[in-house]
Amino acid sequence: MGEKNGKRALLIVDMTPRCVYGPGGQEVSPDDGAASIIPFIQGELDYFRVDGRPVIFCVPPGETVVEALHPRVGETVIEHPQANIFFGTDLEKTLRSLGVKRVTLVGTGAAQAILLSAGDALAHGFGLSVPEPCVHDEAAAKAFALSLMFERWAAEAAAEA
Amino acid sequence: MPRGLYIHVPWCRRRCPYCDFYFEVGKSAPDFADALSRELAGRDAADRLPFDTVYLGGGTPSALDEAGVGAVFGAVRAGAEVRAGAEISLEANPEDITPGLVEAWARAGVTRVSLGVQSFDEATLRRLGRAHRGAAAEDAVRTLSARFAVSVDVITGVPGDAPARAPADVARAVDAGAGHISAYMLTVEPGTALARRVARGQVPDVDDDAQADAYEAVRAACAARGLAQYEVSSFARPGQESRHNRVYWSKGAYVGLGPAAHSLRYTDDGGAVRRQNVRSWATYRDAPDTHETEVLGPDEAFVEAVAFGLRDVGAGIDLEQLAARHRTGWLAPVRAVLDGLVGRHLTRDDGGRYRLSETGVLFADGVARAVLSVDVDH
Repeated sequence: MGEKNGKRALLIVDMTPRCVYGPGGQEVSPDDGAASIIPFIQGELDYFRVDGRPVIFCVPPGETVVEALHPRVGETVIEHPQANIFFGTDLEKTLRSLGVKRVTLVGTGAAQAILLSAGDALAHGFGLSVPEPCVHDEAAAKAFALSLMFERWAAEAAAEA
Repeated sequence: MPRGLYIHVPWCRRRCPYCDFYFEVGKSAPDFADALSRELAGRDAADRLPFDTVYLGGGTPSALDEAGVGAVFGAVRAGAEVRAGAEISLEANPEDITPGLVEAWARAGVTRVSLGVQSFDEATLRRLGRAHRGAAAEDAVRTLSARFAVSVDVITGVPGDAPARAPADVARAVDAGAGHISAYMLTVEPGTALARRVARGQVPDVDDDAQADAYEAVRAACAARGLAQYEVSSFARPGQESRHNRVYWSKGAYVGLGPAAHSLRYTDDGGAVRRQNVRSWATYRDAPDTHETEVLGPDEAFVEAVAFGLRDVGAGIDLEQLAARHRTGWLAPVRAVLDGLVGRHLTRDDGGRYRLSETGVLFADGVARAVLSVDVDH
């Protein structure tokens, strides 16, 4: 999907205690719900960090990232006022300044924040990856969002290329 | 449960720009076998029980000359029992193969050679800084496969690769006689020459999508030539799977000799003791017992065994059998994690034997993390 062979950034979306564990932010079993994607996001995080590639955490205003994925000094945290992480933020400018051509989107809200942001990433000309084990939503909504991104948008991107 | 013996031969003739294993550049030391003997003599009796597999890795074991090969195997057989019919493997570089060395390996009882080809493609070999030529590597596979089982390492995702390069390498390896392929994705390890070249913009970075495409192409090429995938990176004709590597994945006990070698043995309570030898030839030569140990309780050892065991996509894991081996109370929470992964189509439950799914193979590290992060408090 989108441009290959470009510098890639990892965008971690809404992995906050409230989004992952619910309104109280209390930890539940890590194999439940959105917490189940944490080990897979840790894998992506390690991969990007080892290679020195940009990692950007996107969180709702006033929220922090869950401990298991805690940002390191020097990593960017962007607060996004709307579900689409590009809307009302400096994200595009930040990515351009880093020379990023391609983004990997992971996190919660596969059928909302991830989906809307994926569409905007493509519209801004970024290549896009959405690793399935690294995004979460209610099962039917996630399946719909992934099919839209992988099948329709990927097909359109391929047709345009 | 089979037991493995690993011997780390820490010398390479030259430094490959992408490698971050422990090795020293130069000729092997004449007192290496003597140091191995002293280490073996100082190990517990439990570490000298009969071995079902022996594996010389490195470094470059083919950097040992004929006398060195004889001395190393002499030290092993004098200090430990190797069972009849044991698999005896050795890593080798194509440029090292000589008739004399092949004879020495055969006399020592070697049954299997793992050849560090990486590619037969000249342009790829140049980018990797490898010393051999493609045609010579092909000849080496043919020569060796007349005497031993042969595995060929194929590297994928080298920047600048054509999409057909890696599957073409698989085809050439198998057609030349290899019955086993180990396919590794190139990673840019910090501190290597390759990492510095990438940072300076002299070499393009590894492209993840190209890596994924190459991996899929290698899987298809292996399947087309009758090599079944039995581990995340390993493909073999029936009967040519690496018995030694399966000891690691099944978390069987193994003893590592030589600098930087690792060992694992189990304790009566179901726990385990992990040992790593000192990462320095000079220190090891003077004091081969220099090492660090880490003790794992039964529950930790069980969780590790599950996480590693899933890498064996052919055998998978028998969860209840592992739980019994480790006398753990964590069976239920680990089963819950695995069942959750089944629900996400990352693992399969074949009547209590769990295996990675097709998708799970691509995210094997994430699956292992999910298992290792099991939370027994909920």
